[in-house]
Amino acid sequence: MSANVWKLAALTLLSAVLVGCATPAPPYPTLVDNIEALKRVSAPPVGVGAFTVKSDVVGARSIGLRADSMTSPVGNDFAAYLADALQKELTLAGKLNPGSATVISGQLLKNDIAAGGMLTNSGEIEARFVVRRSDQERYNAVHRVEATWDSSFLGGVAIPKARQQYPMLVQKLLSKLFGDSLFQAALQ
Amino acid sequence: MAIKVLGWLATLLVVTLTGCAHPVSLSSDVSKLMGSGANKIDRKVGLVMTDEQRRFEQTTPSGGGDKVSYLPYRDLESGLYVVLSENFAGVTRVAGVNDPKVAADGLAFLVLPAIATTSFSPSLVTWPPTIFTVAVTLSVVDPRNNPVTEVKVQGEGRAEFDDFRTDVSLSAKRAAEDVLKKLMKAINDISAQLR
Repeated sequence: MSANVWKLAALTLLSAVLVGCATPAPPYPTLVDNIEALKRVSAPPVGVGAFTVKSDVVGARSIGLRADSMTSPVGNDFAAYLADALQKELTLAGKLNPGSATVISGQLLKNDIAAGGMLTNSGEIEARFVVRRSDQERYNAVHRVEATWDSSFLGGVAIPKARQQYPMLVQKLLSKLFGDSLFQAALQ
Repeated sequence: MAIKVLGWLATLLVVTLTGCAHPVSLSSDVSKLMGSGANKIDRKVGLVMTDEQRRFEQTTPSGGGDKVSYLPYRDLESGLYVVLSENFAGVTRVAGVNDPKVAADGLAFLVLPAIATTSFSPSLVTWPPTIFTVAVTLSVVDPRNNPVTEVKVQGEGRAEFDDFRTDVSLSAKRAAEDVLKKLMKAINDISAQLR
C-alpha cells in the first residue's frame, strides 16, 4: 500500500514536470522591425530559392523539449520554416517576386532550443544565406543568433516558453541578415 | 511515514502547480489578412507603438486555478500593421507625435492602439483557456495630436481540449484573428471620414 502511494506521488510529480506532447512550432510571426528594414532597402522585389539543411545538423527536423518534441509547421524541416519566415517578411514588405532573377537561398547549419533547464534555457540558430542574380553569386554569409531566457521547473511553463522562443530566434536571425549592408547591396 | 511524505509532496505540488502563469501567444499568421481588396485610403498613417507597450506582459485567469501570461502589444503589432497597410496607402511605425518620421514621411494620421484582454476556462484539471477575448481601441489623431476618430472592436476565440492539446495558445490566437478581421472591416466602414 505504502509503495503504491509512493509511486503515485512520484508519478504525479514527474508528470507535472515533464508533461507535454509532440507539437509543431508556432507559425512564424512577422516582425514590424524586419518589414520596415526591408522596405528601406531600395531594391526591386526578389525571389526565395531552396533552403536546405546541412547533413549533420541535429534538430533540423525535430527539437526535443524535455519529454516533448517540436517540429516545423511547414515543410519537412526547420529550413522550410526559415524559408517561410523569409517569404512572409518579404511579402509584407512588398519585396517578394517569385519570378525575379535575384534569388535568396540558404542552408541551416545549427538549430537548437533547450527546455531542460530549471532556471534558464537557451537556443541558437545558424544559417548560410546566399543571394544570386542570374547565376552570379552576389552575397554569401553565415549568420548566427542565440538567446537565453528565464525558465521553470514545471514542464507546463518551460516547454511553451521554449516553443515560443523559436520564432523569436528566427526573427532575430532575419533582423541580422536584413541589417547587413552587404546583403542590402546584393539586392540592389 | 508514507502519509507524512505524501502530505509533503501534496504541499509541494500545490505550491508548484497553483498560481503559476503559463506563457501563451496571440501571434497568428497575419499574411492571411493581406489581399483584402479594401479600397485604400490615399493617406499615410503612423502606428504608434512604444517599447514599453511591446514589453508589457499581461496575466489573466485560466483553468485549474492557473493563469496565462502574454505580451498583447508585441503579439498584435504586426497584425495591426498589416490591417493599416491594407486600409491606407502607407504605414510606418512611430514612437509618438514627436517622432521625426511623422513629418519626414508626411503622415496624415497617427493610430494609437489600446488592447484589453480576458481569458477563462471552467476546467479544474487543464490550464489552457477555453475562452479568450481581445478588445482593441484605435484612437486616430492628426499630427498635432487632435482627435480625429476612434475605432473599437472586440474579438473572441474558443478552444476545447481536442483543439488546444496541440496548441495551448489556440483560443488566444483565434481571438486575435477575429479582432483583426473586425478591425479591418471597421476601418473600411469609416474610410469616408479619413479620406
